[in-house]
Amino acid sequence: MTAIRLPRQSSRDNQDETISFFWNNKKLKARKGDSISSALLSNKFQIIGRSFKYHRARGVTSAGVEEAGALVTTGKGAYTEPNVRASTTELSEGLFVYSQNAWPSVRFDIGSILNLFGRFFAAGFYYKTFMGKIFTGKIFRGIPPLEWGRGTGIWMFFEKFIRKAAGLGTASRLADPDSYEHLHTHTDILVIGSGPAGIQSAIQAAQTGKEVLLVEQDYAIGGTYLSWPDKSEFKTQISKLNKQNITILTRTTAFGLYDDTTIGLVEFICPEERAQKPLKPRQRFHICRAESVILATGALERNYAFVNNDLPGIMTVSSARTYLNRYQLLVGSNIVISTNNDSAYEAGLELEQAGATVTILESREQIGELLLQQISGRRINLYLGSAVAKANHGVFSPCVKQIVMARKTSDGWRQSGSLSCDCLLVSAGWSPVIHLASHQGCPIEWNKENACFISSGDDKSIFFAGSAAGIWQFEDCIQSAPQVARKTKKAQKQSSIIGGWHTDIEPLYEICVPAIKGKAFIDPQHDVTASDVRLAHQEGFISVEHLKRYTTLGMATDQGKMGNIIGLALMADALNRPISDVGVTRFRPPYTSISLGALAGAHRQSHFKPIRRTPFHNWSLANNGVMIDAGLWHRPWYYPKQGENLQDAYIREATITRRSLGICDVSSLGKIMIQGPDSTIFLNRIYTNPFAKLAVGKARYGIILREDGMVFDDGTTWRLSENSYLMTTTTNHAAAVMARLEELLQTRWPELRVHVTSITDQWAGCAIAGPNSRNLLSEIVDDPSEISNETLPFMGVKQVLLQTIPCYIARISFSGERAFEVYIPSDYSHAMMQFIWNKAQMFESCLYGLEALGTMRIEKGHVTGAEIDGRVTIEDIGLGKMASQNKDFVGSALRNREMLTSPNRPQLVGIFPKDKHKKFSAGALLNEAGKTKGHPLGWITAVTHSPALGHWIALGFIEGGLTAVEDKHIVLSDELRSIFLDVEIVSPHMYDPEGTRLHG
Amino acid sequence: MAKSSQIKRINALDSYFTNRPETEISSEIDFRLIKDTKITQIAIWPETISEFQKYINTQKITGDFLHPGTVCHIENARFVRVEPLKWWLLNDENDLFQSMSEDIAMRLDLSHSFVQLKISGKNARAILSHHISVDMRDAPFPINKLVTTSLHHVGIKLWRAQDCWYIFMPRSFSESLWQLISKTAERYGYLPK
Repeated sequence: MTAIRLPRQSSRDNQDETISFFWNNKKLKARKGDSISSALLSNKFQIIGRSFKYHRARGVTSAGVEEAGALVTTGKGAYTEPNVRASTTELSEGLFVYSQNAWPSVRFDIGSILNLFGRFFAAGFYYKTFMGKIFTGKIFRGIPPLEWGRGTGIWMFFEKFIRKAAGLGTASRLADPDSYEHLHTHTDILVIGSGPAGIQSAIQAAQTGKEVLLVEQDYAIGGTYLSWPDKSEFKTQISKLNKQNITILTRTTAFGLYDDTTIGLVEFICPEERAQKPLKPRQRFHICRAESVILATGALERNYAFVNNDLPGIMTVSSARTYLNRYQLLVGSNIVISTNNDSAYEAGLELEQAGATVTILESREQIGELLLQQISGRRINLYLGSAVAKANHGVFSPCVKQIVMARKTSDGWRQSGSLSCDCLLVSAGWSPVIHLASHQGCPIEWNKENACFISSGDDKSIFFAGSAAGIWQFEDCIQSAPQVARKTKKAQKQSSIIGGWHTDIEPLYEICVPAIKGKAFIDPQHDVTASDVRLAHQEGFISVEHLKRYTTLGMATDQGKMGNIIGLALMADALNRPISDVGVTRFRPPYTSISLGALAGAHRQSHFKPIRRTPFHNWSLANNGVMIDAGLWHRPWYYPKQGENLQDAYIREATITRRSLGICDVSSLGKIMIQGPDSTIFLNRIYTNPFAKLAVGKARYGIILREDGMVFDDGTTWRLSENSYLMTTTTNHAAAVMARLEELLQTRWPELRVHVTSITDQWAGCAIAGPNSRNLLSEIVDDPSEISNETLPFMGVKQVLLQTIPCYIARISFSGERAFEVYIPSDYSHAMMQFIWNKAQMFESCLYGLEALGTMRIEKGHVTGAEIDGRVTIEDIGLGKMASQNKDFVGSALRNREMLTSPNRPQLVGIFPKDKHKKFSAGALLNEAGKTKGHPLGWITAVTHSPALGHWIALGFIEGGLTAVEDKHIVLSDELRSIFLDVEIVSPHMYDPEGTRLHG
Repeated sequence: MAKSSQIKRINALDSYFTNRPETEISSEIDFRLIKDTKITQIAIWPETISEFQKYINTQKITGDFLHPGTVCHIENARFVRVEPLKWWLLNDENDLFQSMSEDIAMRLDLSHSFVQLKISGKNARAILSHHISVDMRDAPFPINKLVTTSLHHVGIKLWRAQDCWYIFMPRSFSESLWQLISKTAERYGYLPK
C-alpha cells in the first residue's frame, strides 16, 4: 500500500498548514488536522506496530476507535502514553510518536521469530504449560518440554520473560505531570455522536425547548459527514445546529452509561489550547446527568476471517473513504475491495474517481440493478460470488501484495485465482455501537436480516438514532432522529426502519478454503485466530463468557469492537446453533480506553483524601509540632526540641507530664450532642453501664456494644443539663457512632424524643494532665474556686469562663494522672491555647503528642482502637463489670452466647520482657515455650518504652488471661523481625494500678 | 481579666483571606470569608411541629419555612429547614428562640462548627460544578434554596442567595476543601492571596 496525498478539495483553511511530528524520533511533516494514522500513511509508513503475541507486522486498519493495528505510544518521559489509537488521535505540533512491542525496530523485529512457532502459542498455551498440570499416568506434570512444571511456581519464573516478549506499549514509571479535573454536568438531553442522526437529533430536541448537550469523540464534529466528498448537506446541518442553543463538546468520549442516565464523559483538552493556557487540565471527566440520552453512536464496519487478514495494507472500506475525503489521502493505486453489502460501492466509486484501479469481490451472487448501473463504465472490475481466501505479502515487505480469491460453490468456498494489489479493503457488514445501552442492561437482540446485534434502548430515557439502531440509509437515519427527539418528551414507541440495503446482506464471517493454511485473525489486537475459537469449542469453553476468557477475544482496549461477532459466529457454527443462541457478553465500561488520571481528577497527592485539621493545628505547627495521619485527621505526634528524635521527644513529654504538667490536643475525639427529654432513656439503652442516674455536672465512662455483643466504641458522656448530654467517642469511630445513633433513633426507637448532632468541630479540646494541672487551671479560669477538688471532683463537668469565653472543663484522665479536659469554642482556640501555654510556663511543662499519649495509656492499660478491633467482648478487655445485669442494652442478648463467655477467650494483659533491656514490636505472637508453631496463645497490640517503668512494655491478649498463664513459660515470637524472647505476663494496669495519682 | 471583646474569633481560613474592601469584587470570580457566623440549630419532634409552627407565625417571617431547603427571612435573620426535624437560624442577634420550651424544641449553637464562604462572579457556578454534584441550573436550584450535599466526600451546605452562593463547610475540613476549590478557581483567573 502506497498512500498518495491528494490536493486539498475542501475550503477548510488549516488543511494547508504544515506541522512537524516525530515518528520513532525521525522528524516528519504532515497537514494540520491530520490524525497520526493519516500523517504516517502520507509519509509512506505502512508498518506501525507489532502484534501482541506473534509480533506480526501491523498497519492502519481503520480510521476510528475500532483500530486494532495502529496502536502507538505518544509523548516522552513522564508524558508517555502507551496504546494510543493512531486513527483517532489528532496530530499536534512536535508530537513524539513511537511504535510498540518491537525491537530493534518496527520494520525488523527480533520478536517476530515467535510467529514461526505460532502453532505452539494457541489459546490456553500459558495455562496448560505453566500453570496447569497434566496427568501422565502416575504423576501430574507440565506439558513437555516443560515437564518440570509445578503449578504456579513455574509460571512465576517464566512470567517475566513472557511479559517482556508479549504485550503492547509500556507506561512511564514517572508520576503523571498533567492535571485532570472533574465536572458535574447537567442537561435535559444528551446526544452522543455528531453524525447525521446525532446532529439531526440535537436540532430536533433543541427545537422542543430542551437543553441539549451534543458530544463527539472525534476532534471534529460531523461523524460520517466528514467521510463524504460532498459537504453541502453537512454545512446546512451545521448552520441549523448553530442556530440552536446546543452545547457541543468535541474530543469527548462517552465511556459508560450508569443508573438514572448518568453518563461518564471524558473530554480531551486540545493540546494547542493547553499550550496557551497551561493551567488547563489534560482531560476533564464530566459526570453528566441527563433526563434522556440519544445514542447516535453509529456503527462499525466489520472485517472477516481469512488467512493473513492482518497484513499492513488491509483496512476497512469506510476508513479508506475517510482517508480519501477527510484527509485527501488515496490509500492505494491498485485496490481490491471485498464485501458482502451495498455500502462498499460508494467508496469504490470515489476511490476510482480519485485515480485508483478498483476490483470488487462481492460474496453475494447477485447485487441490485442500481449498484450495477453505478459501476458500469468505470474502471471497476466486479467478481460476484467471490471473496478473499488469503492475503500474501511481498518478498521483502510484510505488506499486502496479492490476494488469493475464493469462489463460492455449492459445497463451500474454492480457490479461484489471484489478484495483485497494493491495498485490500474489507467490508463484511456493520455492527451498531450499542455498548452504552448494554451497560444499563437494555435488551440486545440478534437481527438475522442485518447480521448484527441491535438494541432499542429502554423506551424511557435511552434511545437510539441512525445506524446505531441498525438503520443504514442516510435518509432513514435523518428520519429516525425526530422520532427519538419526540420520544424524549412522550416516550412513544419507535417505529422500525431497521436495515435498508437495496440487496440483502449475506453474512460473511470466515472464508475457509481447505488447501490454504495460515492464521486468520478475528481479534488482531490480541492475536486471536479462528482456530483459537475452534480450540475453545473443542475444549468445552462454549459459553460466550468462557470463550472470551479462554481466548482473550475482545478483551482490554479492543472490547471486541470488530471481532466479537465473528467469534460468536464461529462458535455458533461449531455448535451448529444460531448466533442468537450463543448470546453476547454484557459490555462493561469503558468501551474505549480512558486514563486513570481522568477518573482521579484533582483527587490526588495532597488532595487524595480530604484532610481534617484540629483548631489547634496551626498553633501546634508554630510550636514545633510534628503531625501524623490519624484517619483523616492530622494530629500532633510529638513536639521535638533541638536535636530530639521521636523517641527522645515522647519520653521527655511523658516524663514531664507525669512529673509536673503536659498539654495535649484532643480535639479530634468525636463529640456528639444528645438532646431531648428522652436522652437519658436513650443513653441507658446505648451504653452497657447505667446512665439513668447520672447527675447534671457529672461524666461517666461508657462502653457501646454492637448487636452481636462485641465492643463497638468507648468514651465519656457528660450530662450538661437535664435534657442535654455531650458524648465523646474515639477519633476513628466518631462517624460510625454518629451513624449508629441516628439509625437506632430512626428505625428502632422513633418514639424517643432525642436528637443527635455532631459537634466535633464546634469545640477544640485540650487535655491538661499532671500533678500541676489544677494549679494551671487556677491560673486560667476566671473563677478558680470552680475547679477545686470539692467543686470539680473526679468525673465532674463544669461550664466555666476562660477569659470571659464560656468553656467546659471535665475532670477526666486518659493519662492516669490528675487531668482535665478543657473544651473551647473552636474559633477562640488559637488565642486561648496561647494564653494557656503562656500560663503553663510558670511550671515545668510541655506539650505532648499522640506518641506520649499512647505511652501513658499503655502504662495504665487503657484500651484504644488497637485493642477494640471488632473482635473483643467487654470481658476480653477486662471491663465485664461495666455490663449491667439490671437492664437491657444494645448487645446485651447476644453477648451471652457460649463462645463469647468462654473463660478461654483471649483477654487483655500487660507484657514485660524478662530481660528488661529487650525491645519488641506490636504484632508479635505469644506462645508457650516450645510450642511456637501453629495457633498462638496470644498477640501484642501495642508496645512502648515506658519512661515510668524504665523498660519496654506492651498490651496484648492471651488465652484465658493473666490467671491462665501464671505458671507458664511464655515466649514472644516475631518471625518477621527475628525477635524471640521470654516475657512475663502481668496485669494490664502496669503503672499506678490503685489510681492514686488520678484521684490526687 | 480580659474582656470578651479582646478575644476575637479566628476563622479556620483567616490566613487565606485578606481584608479586601467589598468594592473590590471581581466580576469573574470572587471569594469572601464570612466571619463571626452565628448558627443556631433548632430541633423539634413530630408531635411538637404544630406548636412550633404557631410560635414561628408570631414572628415576622417571609417564605415557607416548612419547605425543606427554602431560606426564609425571619426578623433580621435567616431560617431554613436543613433536616426533616431541624432548622438552622443564621445570624440571629435577637435570640428568637430563647424562650421556647425544651419540650417543643432544642437549641444548639453550631457557630464554630462551620466555615461560611461566599462565592460570586460569573464563574462561580462553573467552579462549584467541578466539585459539587447537584444540579445548579436556575430551574432546579432557584435563589434562596439551600441543600445538603458533598464536596470531596465531605458533607456541606450550599445556599444560593440573590447574587452569590454560600457554602458552609465543616471547620476541620475547611482548609483542605478551600485548597481544592481555590486550585480550581485559579483556572478561571482567581488569584489567591
